[in-house]
Amino acid sequence: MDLFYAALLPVLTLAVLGLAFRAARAMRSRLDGVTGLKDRLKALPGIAATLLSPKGWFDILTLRRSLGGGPWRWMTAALIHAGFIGLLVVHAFGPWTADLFDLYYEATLDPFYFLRDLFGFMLCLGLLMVICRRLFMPRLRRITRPMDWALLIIVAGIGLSGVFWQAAKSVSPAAFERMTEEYFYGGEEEVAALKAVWTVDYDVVFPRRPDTSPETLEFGRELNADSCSSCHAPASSAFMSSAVAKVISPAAPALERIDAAAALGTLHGLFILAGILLLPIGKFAHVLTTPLNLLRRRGRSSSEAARERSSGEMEAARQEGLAACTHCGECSLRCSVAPAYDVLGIRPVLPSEKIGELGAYASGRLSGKRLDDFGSGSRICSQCGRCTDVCPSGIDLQDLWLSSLKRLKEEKLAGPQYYMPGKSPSQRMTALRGLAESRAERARAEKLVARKESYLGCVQCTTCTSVCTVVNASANPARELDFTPQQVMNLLRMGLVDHALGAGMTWNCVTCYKCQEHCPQGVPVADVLFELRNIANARLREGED
Amino acid sequence: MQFAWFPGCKIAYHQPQYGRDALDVCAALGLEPASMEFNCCGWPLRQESLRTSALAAARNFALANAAGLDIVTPCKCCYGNLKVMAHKLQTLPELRTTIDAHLQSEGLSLAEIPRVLHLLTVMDQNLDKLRELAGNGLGGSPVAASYGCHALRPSEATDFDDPLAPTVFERVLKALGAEPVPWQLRVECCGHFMRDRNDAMADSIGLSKLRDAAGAGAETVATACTYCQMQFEGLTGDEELPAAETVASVALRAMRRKS
Repeated sequence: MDLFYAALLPVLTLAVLGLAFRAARAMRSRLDGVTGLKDRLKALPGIAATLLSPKGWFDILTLRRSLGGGPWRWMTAALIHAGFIGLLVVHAFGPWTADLFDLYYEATLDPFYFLRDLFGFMLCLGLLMVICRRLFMPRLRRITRPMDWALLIIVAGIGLSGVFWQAAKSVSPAAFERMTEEYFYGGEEEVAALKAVWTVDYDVVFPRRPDTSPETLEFGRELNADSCSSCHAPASSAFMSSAVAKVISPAAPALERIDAAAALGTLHGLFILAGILLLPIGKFAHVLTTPLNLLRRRGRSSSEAARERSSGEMEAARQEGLAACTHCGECSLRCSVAPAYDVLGIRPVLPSEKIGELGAYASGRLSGKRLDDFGSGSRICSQCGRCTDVCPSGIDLQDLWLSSLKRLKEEKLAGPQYYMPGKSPSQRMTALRGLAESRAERARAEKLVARKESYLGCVQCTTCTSVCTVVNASANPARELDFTPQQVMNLLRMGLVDHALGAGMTWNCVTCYKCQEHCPQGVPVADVLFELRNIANARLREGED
Repeated sequence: MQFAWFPGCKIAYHQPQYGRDALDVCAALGLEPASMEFNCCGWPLRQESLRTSALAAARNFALANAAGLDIVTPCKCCYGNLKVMAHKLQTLPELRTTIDAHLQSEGLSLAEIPRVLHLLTVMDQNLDKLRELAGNGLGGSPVAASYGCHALRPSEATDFDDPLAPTVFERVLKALGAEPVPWQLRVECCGHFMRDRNDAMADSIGLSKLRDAAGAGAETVATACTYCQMQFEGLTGDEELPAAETVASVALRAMRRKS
């Protein structure tokens, strides 16, 4: 542990610097129109004011929002939070807590000895539930990332190494020898009696089991009361490490030889240092950012960003929301358009995946396929707002999606539905030309475009064109639509799929189905136009693979 | 009558009032809508891929089916897509096989496709009750019924009303004490689909409908679709145009006036 205390200050410094860097990056990134530093500075008093929100504090302390995922979800969160915070209070900051309550602190003395195991047990149980949730819910398992496991491993590592460290110390006769040498005065008989007590009550495994007859124990307990129990509660107080000690007792001599206790102590320290060091990175920071966001939301659960006062504050709220995601996946389990992920595999369809990409997009670090997928995920979102309702961190996801989709549309990154109508006829003709046929279009259960029979009946009577809402509404059909519906059918009959894909008609279709309803020959005009858009989307998507 | 309430995605955030009003109307009619956690009807997903849209619809069918309930929705696009996908699942065996496999992997199954109804149809089934509740609350005020596209067409799949000369909306309005006006563009598209894609087109289509309704003397354009309602609410011209109001809101207005 000397190593631990030597490394603690540098590691803490690095963590603080990392958090400052992260905050600075958030200040530079852009989720909506606000870029000016002045706007952002003006938002600072507003941010400070949120810290006093009683409803926000209520949400933090009760984990109310986790209830959205059901009682088990809340129980999991409650166990982990209570366990972790409890350990900080009675263990990591134990001496300070003792001072506060005017108690004498010794880690191995009750109530600290017992509480440490109690909170440790809660933490371990909660973590086990989280791990099971990630393993046994198929969609959640698929979206779980190395970072999710890393956090779980580090927190579980801190807990388990602590428990095993205590167990290894308990069974170690060397620790007993060291302590008696320092604190115990007595002859061989007294030491033998004390050994008996420590064998029975404290889990020590001596190379030769001492005599534990009732008389010896009675004598030993008197000695123990005089010399030891002022600092050592019986092992049974620390029920978890005591149970572990009993399990590992057969291996005690071996553990003693390799000095397992010291090794586990070092491991415990390393896990803690790793946890602190990683604090500024990704979801590790949620211990700080999620409470901040809950305070910001002041207990509101629906999407109400417009209520934030200034645009600077709105941007601050979005940045805080962005940073607060714990990647718990609750939103993705309940997402309305998740079938688009299940079938098409576009990860950023799911809110928990999209929010990570949004952070990268906002700071200009997204390109290529990732940018396209982010655009697809953003336009596919049906804006039902459920992710916002169920988010345990209270992130106003709906507002994030609405603002980022607006920007994606402006930047022509929301997909062909959005950018094709605005192009000129010549741009349209080349935009989707020469894309390779996609696996998805070959696997379609309904193939209209590729089957000549679909429009074989077309007699070019122009009924579809004359009833078409779009043709009627267009001020300049030749320039805006390139082809009328019946001309698109004719293109396909001639095998000119690329031309049909690029036709303004295909991308300005309002899907009113009048063409199809009125066609005297039963040509599924609207369904063909639908299929053309499906094909274009599939070719663009697969072309990136 | 018990049924699974399918508000669709747009209600919760974009049209909460329509959602509340529709449920109030159901309550007034003594109907029992059951709230279930459905996913998207599949309508916006149909732009991306047929199979995705079919899976979305089929999951909803499976959930309603498991609860043994029919589906009722206040949205024409939800209604249309659910009906079209039901039709495709019945006519394309290959699609049905893939979707069944998908559902099975989630522990769901689609033994039977449940009945899908639109709120208007349910109101139409309770015309006498509506008349009784609304009396002459609206005093014969002129209302234009805007049908919207996706419930009417493709009629082969949607089976809603006569696609060329529908009457259900007018019947409901009449029962509420309104005077449905005849107007030319009542079965035309509202234009919402092109919103943010081609705004000039969306405006042109939407405004021509509202102007036509105004020309026919309507004070109100009644909608029965979240998208139509969003579209008409968003159209703010300088001219005096009839206000868009959902059929649920019209019904509640009539009932309040009466009492």
